Amino acid sequence: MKKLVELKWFPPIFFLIIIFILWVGSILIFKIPTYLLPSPLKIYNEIVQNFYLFAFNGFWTLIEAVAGYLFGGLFGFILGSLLAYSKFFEKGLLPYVVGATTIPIVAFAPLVIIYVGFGIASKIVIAAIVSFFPLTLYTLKGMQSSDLIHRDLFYVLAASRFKIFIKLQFYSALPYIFTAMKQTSTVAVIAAIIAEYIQADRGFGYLILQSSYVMDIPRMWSAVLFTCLLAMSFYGIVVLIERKFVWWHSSLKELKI
Amino acid sequence: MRIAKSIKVKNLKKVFDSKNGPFLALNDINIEINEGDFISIIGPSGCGKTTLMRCLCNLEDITSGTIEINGKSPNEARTDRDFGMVFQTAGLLNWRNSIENVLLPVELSGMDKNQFKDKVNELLDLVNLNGFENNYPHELSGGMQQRVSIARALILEPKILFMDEPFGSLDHITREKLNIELLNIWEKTKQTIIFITHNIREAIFLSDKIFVMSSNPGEIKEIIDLDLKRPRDEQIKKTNKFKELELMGETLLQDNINEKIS
Repeated sequence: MKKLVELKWFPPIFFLIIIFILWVGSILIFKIPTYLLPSPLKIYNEIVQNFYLFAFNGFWTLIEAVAGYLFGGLFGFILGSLLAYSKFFEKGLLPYVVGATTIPIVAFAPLVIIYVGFGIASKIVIAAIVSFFPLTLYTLKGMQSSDLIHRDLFYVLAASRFKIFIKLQFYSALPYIFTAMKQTSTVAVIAAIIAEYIQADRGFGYLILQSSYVMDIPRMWSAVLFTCLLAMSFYGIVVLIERKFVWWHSSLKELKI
Repeated sequence: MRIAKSIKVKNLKKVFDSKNGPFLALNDINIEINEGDFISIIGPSGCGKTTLMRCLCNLEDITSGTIEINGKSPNEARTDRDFGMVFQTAGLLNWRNSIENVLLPVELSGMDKNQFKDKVNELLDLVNLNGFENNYPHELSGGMQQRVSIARALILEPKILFMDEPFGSLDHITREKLNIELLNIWEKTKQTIIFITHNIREAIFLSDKIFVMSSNPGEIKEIIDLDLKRPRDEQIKKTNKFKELELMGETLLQDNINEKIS
């Protein structure tokens, strides 16, 4: 038993089984009808029978989320770097960046759809907006968080402003940048779905909304699970990339107690 | 022949503005250091020895007085890369291996790092790190990391080397070993070394001259000229002369603390 507990895959699988037992058990014991909570089997059947439907809509949500994530992240990184590079830009722009982060995306999304149009582009822009601000703020914070001893070292070595930036500040910011990228990976998926709720003819948001009109609960649940799967895989890929690039940072080492 | 001066400090004063009002960290410091000398600055913690070094290498602005490094201001000497610096902690960049860390000053100076390939290996050899060229800092012990940082400080062959308690966090055995290594390096490079420590034995073993500082305000209290023979090895620590010097140094530091208490 002890060996089983130490296996890497065992703890998550263990709790997955517990959740399934509680799920199926409560349906059987309390006689919950399918139109309130479908059993895992019903959801499985729904997915198998309509796999193309989920794959098609999932594909578009994924495209919107990833494109928005990459564009928003890239521009966020560029703006964050600019703010870190120049005090003038930081003082002039940071208050507005912070202010902009308080705008709820649900409130702003309808405007984006009006400005950008009904196609996929408006969804990408909405996913980009939610990815943009965390990247800006975390990049700035990370670049300002280089160790004092390293700053002294670069100063004594008479490093130019640009070399301090690319050889010290950029690396110091990487752990922060990945923290933001992990956060926005899931948020970008949510933003794409919110955008699809407002107006769309494809995507998980569209599918969930359409199914809700006809009370197709198994389909709604399937779409929800698919969305989770999508966001989690996206998150997982970012974690793998992070391990490749910032393995040297202490946050990736296990805490000893 | 007139001996060239590496460092000249005249009437140096450093005042920090703290929340509790101005704090006089260094008062009326006057120092002259000859080229090629090994100098130690010793004193109790908080006496301003690190502040003095930070002033010398331009990390702090001075309040009044003058500092000349190779006849230039600290700022000019820094931008001309006249000196290297070894900090209390190694301060290696975690994302670079030993070779890349040693090459950092070359990259920052804008020179071609390919021309320094042999030099890097030579230096890592000198600090006894063969076989660890491609290791990253987290794979090295504290002593090894400090050795990498010494190699890093030497790569551009600076005329002056500042060392701020470089072995302070290491155990006794490693410290003594690195002291001998440092002397070996110095015999070869003949740089001017300014070495901060609070360990009197270390200071006597390494130096030509020791500046003893007292605190509140930080002042040079005494200059001890050491005429111990060179090259030195562990044996010298057993001589009567060494022991006398050790006693003298300890008394000086002790008086210093007693004065403060009374």
